[in-house]
Amino acid sequence: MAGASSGNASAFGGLEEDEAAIISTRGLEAFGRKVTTTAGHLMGPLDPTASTHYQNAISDLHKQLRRPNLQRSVFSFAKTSPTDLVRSKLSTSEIQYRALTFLPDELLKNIPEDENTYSLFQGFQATLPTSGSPDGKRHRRRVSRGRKLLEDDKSESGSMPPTIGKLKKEQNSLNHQLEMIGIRKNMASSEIHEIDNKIANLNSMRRIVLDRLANLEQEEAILEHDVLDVENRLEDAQEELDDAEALKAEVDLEENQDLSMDASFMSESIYEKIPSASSTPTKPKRHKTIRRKSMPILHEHFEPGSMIREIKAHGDLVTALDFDVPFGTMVTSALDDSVRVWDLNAGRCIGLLEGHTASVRTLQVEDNIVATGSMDATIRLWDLSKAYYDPPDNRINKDGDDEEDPLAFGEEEDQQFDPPVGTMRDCPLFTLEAHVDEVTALHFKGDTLISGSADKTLRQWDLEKGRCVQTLDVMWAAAQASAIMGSNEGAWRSTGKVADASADFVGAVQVFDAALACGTADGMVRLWDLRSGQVHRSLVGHTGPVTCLQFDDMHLVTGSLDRSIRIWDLRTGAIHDAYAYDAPITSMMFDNRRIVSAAGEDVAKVYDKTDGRHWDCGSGVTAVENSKTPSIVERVRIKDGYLTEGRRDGIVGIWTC
Amino acid sequence: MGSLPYAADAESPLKPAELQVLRSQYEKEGVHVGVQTQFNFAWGLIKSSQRNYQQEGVRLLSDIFRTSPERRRECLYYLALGNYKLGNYAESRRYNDLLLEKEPGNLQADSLRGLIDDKVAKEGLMGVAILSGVAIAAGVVGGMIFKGIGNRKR
Repeated sequence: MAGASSGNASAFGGLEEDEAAIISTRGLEAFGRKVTTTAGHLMGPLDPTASTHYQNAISDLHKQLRRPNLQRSVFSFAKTSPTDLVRSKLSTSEIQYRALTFLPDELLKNIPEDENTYSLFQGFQATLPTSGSPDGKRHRRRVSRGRKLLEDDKSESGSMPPTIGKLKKEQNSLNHQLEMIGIRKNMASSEIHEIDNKIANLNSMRRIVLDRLANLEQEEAILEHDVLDVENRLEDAQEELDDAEALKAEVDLEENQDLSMDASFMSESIYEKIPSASSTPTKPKRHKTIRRKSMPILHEHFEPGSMIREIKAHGDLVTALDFDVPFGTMVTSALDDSVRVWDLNAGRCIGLLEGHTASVRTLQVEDNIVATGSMDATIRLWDLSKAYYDPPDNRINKDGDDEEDPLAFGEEEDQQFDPPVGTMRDCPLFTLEAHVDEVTALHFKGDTLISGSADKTLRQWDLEKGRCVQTLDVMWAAAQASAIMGSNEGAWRSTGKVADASADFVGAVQVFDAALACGTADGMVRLWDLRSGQVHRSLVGHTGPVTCLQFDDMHLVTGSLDRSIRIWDLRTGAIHDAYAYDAPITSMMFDNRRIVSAAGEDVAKVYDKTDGRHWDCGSGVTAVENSKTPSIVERVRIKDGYLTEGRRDGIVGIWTC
Repeated sequence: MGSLPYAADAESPLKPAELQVLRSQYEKEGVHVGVQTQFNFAWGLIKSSQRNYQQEGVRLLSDIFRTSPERRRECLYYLALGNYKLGNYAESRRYNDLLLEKEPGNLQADSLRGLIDDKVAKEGLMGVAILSGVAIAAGVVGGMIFKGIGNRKR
């Protein structure tokens, strides 16, 4: 410790003045205090007020030196004893200790009024083990003693009347115990207060750090856009350079080889058939997909169930929605026949996907590719990377109101309703036409897209070629299954519910490689093998039309209009778990922690798989206190704890979960 | 029951087991130690008869004084008492006088002031006696040496 050694040296410096100490102890004392302060200054930077104290000590010293010598020496004897003085000036450990315990005058001046319910000493007495027993046993001991007291009382009252003195003593001791318990009670409550304060402190610290995180993500997004921009420009420059070189080479080639013209004519005619963007240099170059390098993690630190944003997306019931990644791009469709693309980061509409002649029933977003299935019996594919959209401009302009108050969606409504025109004009990739009735479900993975339609068929599409490669007839498969197995298993079953009439024939599909799962209006979940085109397993259990399904490597989760969610074990085909809500399930999705579903309520129902807890997430939770009446949630999507829900009135809510 | 102990209370040390209970509780609570626990341990230490324990106790008390303003007034008395036990009368007086300034009717503080004055006077007298004794001895020795030198010279 540097402070200790310096204090030590100064202390021995004081030794030389030992002679003078007898006459001017006060001066020495002041000097000693200065030493102490210096040591304290060096050793204990704990107290911010300590730094100013040094100056105070110096000025004190000067003041005292100016006083008459005699007065000082007389005073000094009354103040303290010589042993104390000698010790405080000479012993290293003493000086260290004094430096540690020294309290500056500022602190001494700042003594608030005493408002405590019990004194520290009372607290001490209450805490100290009464009979010297260790703390843990204290309570038991007390109880047994109390019982003994009562027993004594009984036995005494049985044999002879207890004396008044004894009773008084008992009364006193009981009163004392009561008092002690009162103090302990106060202690406990004040301790709880203390802890509450600490928690509040920590919470406010957390809030500050969360804000910092939000700012960092903001900056990160802007920077990332800049990087992308530079990369694209670099690419363009490189391409231009290449083009120039190629042109030069071509000129050279033409000059040198006039004879090989026939061959190049031939190949050119073949080239023309290839619809490639690179062959037409006038066409705007395809830029890199807007994929983020970094993962936003802000939403993971919000409290589960808190709202990130609420968007008035449509004027009518939301029929489908999906997004790629948290704070990425969202696509919504509604009964008003529009399909909108949203930037979830800025919370604003980027554009409209136009082309369908009826409303879209189902859609999926994967990276920059969007697939939409519509009531006009067609499926359209879109490439969002071709959109003309410059996200950071919007971000910066709208920064303020977006971050400060995500609830204030009211003013932005109009803005969100008119996206820039024509931003999506290059997005359509192609249209898949083969179904003869409305498309109610679709799913794609890689180059394979599966669609389910009200024409009672499923179709498999090759996205590379844009063609239908297989048609699966559900009714035929059902009939065959019943014929082969000779039982009802796998056959089409009439669930005999009124609701079935309005339910979609194919409620949901999901494909993975050659495996396909589809849920249908008869309440069956069929697992197909796309290589053979056969149903290889049927999961029987739901008593109403299946409306949604999703599987991972372990489980298949299905939701049905029979109000239940069923979790199947994919390997055995048996029920793994099941639970039910009060109304038909219209939509369901799970991520690695939670299963969220829409069950005809104004909230999304969440089931936490890890701790088995059921809870509600959505504006319906706070509806009573906000005196709002949120609409019923129709569709839900969740990815990595980022939940989006679409409601009957066209509002889309985004939550952490 | 009084809310402050008299100085005599500080002279009765706790049993080692009792102190150990207080110490383990203090250590168990770690960084987020509560004021009461800290005080309990500090007071237990001050009551002990070992000087380094007492010093540790006073250090803990000064920590309490720094961190929890609502307990400062009480702490003043314990600081005064602890320093009195340690023989640091100047510090002790500093704290005690401040407390008396705030609470002129505080009996415990008043009695502590009397004790400090007594101790200071006693030790001061003793110091004067020792010093004067040393001075006389030095004078005698010096005189003798002087004499001796004088004798030799002569």
